[in-house]
Amino acid sequence: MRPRNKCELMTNLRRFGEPRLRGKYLFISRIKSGRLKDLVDYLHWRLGGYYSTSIGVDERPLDGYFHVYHVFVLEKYGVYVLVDLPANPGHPVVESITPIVPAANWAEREIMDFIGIKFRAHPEPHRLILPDDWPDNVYPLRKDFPYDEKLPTSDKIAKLVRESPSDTWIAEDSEDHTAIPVGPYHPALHEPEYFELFVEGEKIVDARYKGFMVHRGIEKIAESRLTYNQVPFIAERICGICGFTHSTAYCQAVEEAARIDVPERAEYIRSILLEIERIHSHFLWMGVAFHLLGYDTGFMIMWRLRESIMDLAEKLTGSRKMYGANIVGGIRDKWDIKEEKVALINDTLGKIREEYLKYVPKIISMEEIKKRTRGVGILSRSDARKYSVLGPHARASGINTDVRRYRPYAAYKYVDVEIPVEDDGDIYARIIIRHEEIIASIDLIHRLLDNIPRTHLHADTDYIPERRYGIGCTEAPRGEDLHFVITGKDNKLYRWRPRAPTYNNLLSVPTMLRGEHLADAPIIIASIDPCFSCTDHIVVVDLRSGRRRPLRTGGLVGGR
Amino acid sequence: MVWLNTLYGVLNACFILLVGPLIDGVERRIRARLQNRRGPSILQTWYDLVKLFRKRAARTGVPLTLFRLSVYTGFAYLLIVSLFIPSILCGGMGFFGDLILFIYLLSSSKVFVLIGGYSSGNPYASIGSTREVSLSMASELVLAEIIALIALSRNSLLLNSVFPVTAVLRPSVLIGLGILGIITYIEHSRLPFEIGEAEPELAGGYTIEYAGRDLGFILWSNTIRRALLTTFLIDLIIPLDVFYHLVIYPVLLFSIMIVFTAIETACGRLRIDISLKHVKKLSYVMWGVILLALIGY
Repeated sequence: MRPRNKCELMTNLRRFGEPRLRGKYLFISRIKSGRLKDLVDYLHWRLGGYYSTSIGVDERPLDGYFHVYHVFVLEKYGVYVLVDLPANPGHPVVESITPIVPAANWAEREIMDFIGIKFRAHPEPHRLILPDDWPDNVYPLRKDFPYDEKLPTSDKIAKLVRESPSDTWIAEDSEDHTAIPVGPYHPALHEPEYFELFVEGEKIVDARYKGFMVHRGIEKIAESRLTYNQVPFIAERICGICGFTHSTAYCQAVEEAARIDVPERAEYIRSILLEIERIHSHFLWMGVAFHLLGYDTGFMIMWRLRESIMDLAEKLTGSRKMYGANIVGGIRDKWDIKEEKVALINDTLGKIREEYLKYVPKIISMEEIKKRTRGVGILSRSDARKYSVLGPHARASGINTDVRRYRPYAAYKYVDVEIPVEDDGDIYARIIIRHEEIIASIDLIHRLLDNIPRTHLHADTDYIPERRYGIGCTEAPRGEDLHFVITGKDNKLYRWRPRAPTYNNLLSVPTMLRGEHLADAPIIIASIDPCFSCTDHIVVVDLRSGRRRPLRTGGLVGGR
Repeated sequence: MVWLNTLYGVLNACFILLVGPLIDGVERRIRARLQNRRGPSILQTWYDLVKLFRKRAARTGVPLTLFRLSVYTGFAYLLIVSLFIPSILCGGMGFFGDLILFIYLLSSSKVFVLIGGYSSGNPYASIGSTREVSLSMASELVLAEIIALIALSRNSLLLNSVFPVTAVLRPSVLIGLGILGIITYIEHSRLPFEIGEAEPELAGGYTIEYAGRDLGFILWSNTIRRALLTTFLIDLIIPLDVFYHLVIYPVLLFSIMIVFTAIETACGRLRIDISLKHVKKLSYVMWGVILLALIGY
């Protein structure tokens, strides 16, 4: 029996610990001993919610403990459940939830790397993000680790693949299999990451993944030296494709924490820009998908269309990709969408829609495309739940989820959002989902433009109270983008953790690759629309000098 | 007469060597136009080759003898074929049985390049060559069947006496020519059958370890092979006549290549198992056609 409302939910949860409801956040602390696994099982598998991510925080300066927060999303009850596991600083060990929810695998290991909390009974307790030559017992996200610390150099050699989330293990030097390296540089991958495929002839028998090759620790920079209104810039640079969704999610998290009401007009403008970004991202993905299927004409068509959407973005924000419009509390004044621009957007989108419908429905009904994508790279609904996959990837496997509809933010509260869902779980379903989303997004922008109200563009944000928790969620082109913040002193964050959707989606890739043809590997990997830079958190590096520029407080524009 | 035929052969070979990359350049321009791009100069393939020839082959620690020798052997085989296939001039160094030698040299030149790639030990190269070998085994069986049909219809194994096969207008010959058109397309390794190099999947496949001059010769060989296969198809259609070869042949050569390019532009890449199925079907059809020819149609 599922509880019918929040009250019943609270009563039920008392079996496991002490639930406390603070707005949208339901903290469960003081978990009874031995009940954690039951609680997680209940939240993820029985209540119809899903595991979203885990966050480790060094809260020793505040209450003397390390904390692990496992975030579960219960859309039906409109709450985020944060399972709070404190860890003793002298002996920081908590129980792992990965055996119950495999999706937590990476997030827990990230906490092991960065905060130094050990997870008891974790199936693969190896390093995930820190390189092999990083010294033991040095944890970069602890508060006593200075952000500009210089570590001694080491001569350990990094191995590319250490482990995999695979259930069936095969010997690395087996004679029956050939290991095919895909990456770190490969024409099918547009960012550095590494897949190792084990093949028999043309058939893939196992796959392993190693990523996080360009992790630069922007969380540390943000927590140490950036102010609230500087972080949106760096958040936007997490990704070169869906940056605006990151800065929006960040701003929403701070707004939630500080209870700032964003003016309606700013919400509309955010939504419009987010949808423009979604269209851009899906165009780009479709182009790449066609290219990987060997259909370069389709690639050229999609990327030409993408040019026009980037030109539109440039006319609206002054920049083709990095919109830079967000501040905590709303939108910068100069990013207002005025009357004449409304007409421009409607016009341009009309043309794009016409041209899009001229080509793409024909392309995706082509026999070759269908033959290569139907029944290939299948992710079943149960596997999708197991790895908590998000966004179009989940919707193609029959999971009806969309932050825009079920946890509406920005202007999605005022309009209906169409959510296409497919049940096949193959690559073709993922193509169809994104195809329908493009058209839905274009229509959505028209509707938003019709109703855009006249209000201020940003709220007053002079004071942001300390030690408030906030979660900002947006539906990025690839799925739920979650930013977690704890506010701090001196106009700075205490903790910031962005979690891009690819973080969850990537875990499902080895499952999809197993048993498939080698020829299909690139399109299977690409079918989740992987964004490795999002997962890794990239920041600016000066390529010419090869030096990492230190970010100086006040070095970025912070005003309105 | 012998020296005249030799001269013809040499001139024909020169023509094929020069025109192969040129056709490729034209194709690249046309493909670009069909994809709404501007495209490179039609001499671009030649520029690429010249640049590659100037570069040294990078040593990648693979056994050099087989690796490099195979490229030049393959190229030499194609050169020999171009000596006895009439192209721009209607003549060549014909001799008895050259029809069989034609198919033998053409397929072994390909096999040599694939062996070379395979010998590099690179896993992408091995997969690329395995794919290409399976596909060309299947398609060359069909090609052999077509040769058998031609020999049957014209009662000869001498190239100069089977040309043009259209002199005997039988249903079997017409169907055979149609299938030869398809096989020519497949042997050109064009999309959707371009699976040995498959850049987004195999990063160049069997050519992955080659560089500089060696790579240049592979690319040149590929354009020459395409030109030779198409020439064979045209020779079977147009009369063995000075005018036809000097005027109609180049026009046909370029138009067939352009039509092929247009088809290619509209295609994605097939998977090896699907492409093999297609070719096998053709092979079955060809057996039927040969039977048809045997009973006199």
